[in-house]
Amino acid sequence: MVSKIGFVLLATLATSPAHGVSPATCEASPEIRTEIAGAIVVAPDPSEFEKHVAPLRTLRQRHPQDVIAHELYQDAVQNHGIEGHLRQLTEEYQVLSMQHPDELMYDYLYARSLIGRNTREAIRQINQLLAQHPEFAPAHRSLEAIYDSAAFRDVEKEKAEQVRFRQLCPGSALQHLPAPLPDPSPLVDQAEAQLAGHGEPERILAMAQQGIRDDEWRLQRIRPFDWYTVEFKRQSQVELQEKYWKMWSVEVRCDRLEGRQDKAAEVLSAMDQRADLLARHSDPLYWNVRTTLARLYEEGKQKDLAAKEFDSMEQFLSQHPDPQRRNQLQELRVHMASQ
Amino acid sequence: MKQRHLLAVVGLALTVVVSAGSLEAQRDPGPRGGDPGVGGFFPGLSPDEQSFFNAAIQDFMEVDSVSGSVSGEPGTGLGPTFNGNSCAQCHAHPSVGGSSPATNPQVALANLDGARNTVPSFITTDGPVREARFIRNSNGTLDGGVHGLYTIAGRTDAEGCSLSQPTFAQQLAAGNVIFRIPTPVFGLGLVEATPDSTLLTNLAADRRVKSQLGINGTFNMSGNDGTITRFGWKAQNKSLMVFAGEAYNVEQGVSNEAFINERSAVAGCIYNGSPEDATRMLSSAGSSMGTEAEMSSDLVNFAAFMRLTAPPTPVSMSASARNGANLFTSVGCALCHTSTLTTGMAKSAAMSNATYHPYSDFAIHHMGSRLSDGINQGAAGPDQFRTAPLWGLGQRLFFLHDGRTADLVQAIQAHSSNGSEANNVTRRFNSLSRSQMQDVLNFLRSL
Repeated sequence: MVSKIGFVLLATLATSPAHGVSPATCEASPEIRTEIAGAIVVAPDPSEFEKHVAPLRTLRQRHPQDVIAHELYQDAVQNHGIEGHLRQLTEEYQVLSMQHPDELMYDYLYARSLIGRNTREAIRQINQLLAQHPEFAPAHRSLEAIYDSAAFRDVEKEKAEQVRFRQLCPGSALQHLPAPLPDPSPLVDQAEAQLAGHGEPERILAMAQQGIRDDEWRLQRIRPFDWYTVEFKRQSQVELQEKYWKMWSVEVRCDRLEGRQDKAAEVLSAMDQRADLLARHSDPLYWNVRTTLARLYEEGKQKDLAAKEFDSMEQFLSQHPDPQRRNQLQELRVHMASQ
Repeated sequence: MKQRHLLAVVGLALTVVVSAGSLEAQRDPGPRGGDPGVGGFFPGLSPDEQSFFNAAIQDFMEVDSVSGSVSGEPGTGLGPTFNGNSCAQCHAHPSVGGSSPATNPQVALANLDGARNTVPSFITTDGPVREARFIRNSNGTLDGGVHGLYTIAGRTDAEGCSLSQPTFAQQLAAGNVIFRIPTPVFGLGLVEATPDSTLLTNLAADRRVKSQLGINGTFNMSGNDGTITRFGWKAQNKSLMVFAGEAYNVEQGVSNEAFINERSAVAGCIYNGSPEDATRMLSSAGSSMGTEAEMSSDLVNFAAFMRLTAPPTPVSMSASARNGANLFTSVGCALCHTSTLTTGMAKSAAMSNATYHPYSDFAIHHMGSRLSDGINQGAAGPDQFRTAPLWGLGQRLFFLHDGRTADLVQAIQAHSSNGSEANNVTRRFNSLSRSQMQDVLNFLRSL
């Protein structure tokens, strides 16, 4: 993902502007092109904010009048930052635009800092700027990217902005928004599979935990942005919540394999408490969670505790009758009896 | 002169020996077991109020994670710094809404969900839940604020945050840390509904006797509207809404509509927009229509829960406890620990003109050097504390603002030190016979 972003940004270095347009508004100025290449970090962990952003912050400080340097910095914050960084970015550019009244570049950059967070307001402000400065190419590029995005798609406007930008900056690269979302991590599922294949427990547990961390970071790439619908955000969160149960199950199994029965019991007890909380909040995960717990107790030959889970499931079924789940419970009971 | 001094010292030593001997014989009967008898709604609430209470208590028990992504921790906004992850985690004993439980949940909280916190030395498994305040800043100016025990750094849902815990060991060594334990919230709607005039009249009552015993007392006041503030250890909070809002932000790190700014707002540790808790535009089912509790913020629901809870119910008194109740009054304890107050007109009809028994005047008093914590809050100075309400005392596990003791006898004795308004009353208590003292203790444990 990081290399893709880098590719798009680097592509802006190698093109030529149209007559009458300040070259710096289409492309990075020649004197900073090599610096940009060095400032874009391809770090293995995209969540390492400072590693990705600090070089571009420095670049911007060295070239405060270069709009592309600012844009690259803004993009790095957007692509690697969490809510606090994003808020800080907007505040920073609000202050800069106040400190530089009537400077087109700063007004534009403030509006641009709102993209992805309050995109409708960004559109309004950028259009306002273009009404007075129709030849300001970066604004057309930003609007084109917004209108090309799934959340704010407007084919006609996108075409119009693209035409205008191409007239002003022939050959210059367009931007794609938002940056591609990382796929959900496969690590938790892989950890489960490796556990079944008798892999090394410590490594498997670390893998599962890393999977959760990766997905938590992925969620932070979704939650603060208006590129995504409320429903998608909610769904992503539920999927992650579900994954936590897989990770905890892996943890219990790894602890058992390593002979840490106390630790396994501790994790199970915490899982049980969490399951009770799910019941209180009528969480849709509740049934699956109880099933998971029953299986874990059964694996640990803790029949009494497994039976308690069955009781909880029975209680749930009495409140929410479901023949399919009734069968599932029956199968679990039979399976345990046969052990 | 020297001889007189010597005599005074000998006399003092004798007094100490005598009172220590007599105190030794008295035993705190310990926390009352059995049915908590609290935690439900105030009797006589309307069906709508009862529903609100039942929904609100669920919010009070909700567990928070950083962004609500950890299953079983659906609340949003924990941290960057925090002391707890749920109201009910600390307000737990003898039931939801109470005070510190027997097993301190803050120990397990330190490393929950991958957090990398070290448990400070003053947090122990069998000790009270505590928050820590620093008396002074490093430059010598007054601090007084709460410093969160823990940070979210290392939690699976706080990738990238590297905020460090405060340097508690260093601050402890410098004598710069004081503690507070959770105050129970049962029956607080009655306190909120008590008119200022009632409290003023009550404080002015028995002025002559109080004066003879060195008891003054004053109220902590709101600088905004000039009315009496009455919640918190120093009566620093005006209303249950403010009380809840402050606690939500300070104890759990959840910014809200009353306390809108995130604390310890390091950009790399901020995962949610502010306020993290706000009035809901949509119910959890996605509808723009819902009950009051469904659409209200957590903050409103917390306040509603506290407002609508029933006060603790005392058990029926033994003969000893009945005698203790009389002695409690005759010794002078009741001059500040006012047994009975009456509410004014309240929003809830059931709570209007209701008589209740808080055993507090809700005034602040100088409690002397032994209890002084060096913290100023509003008009309350370093050694001034609100008269702690004694209702529910029978089941309480830890006493005094910092939970320094679990022994009622020690808590009583701590009322006496240089500058305390309670010195004379404590002396009178100490002059009671052993069985009389025991009666007082039995009375207190019946509350």
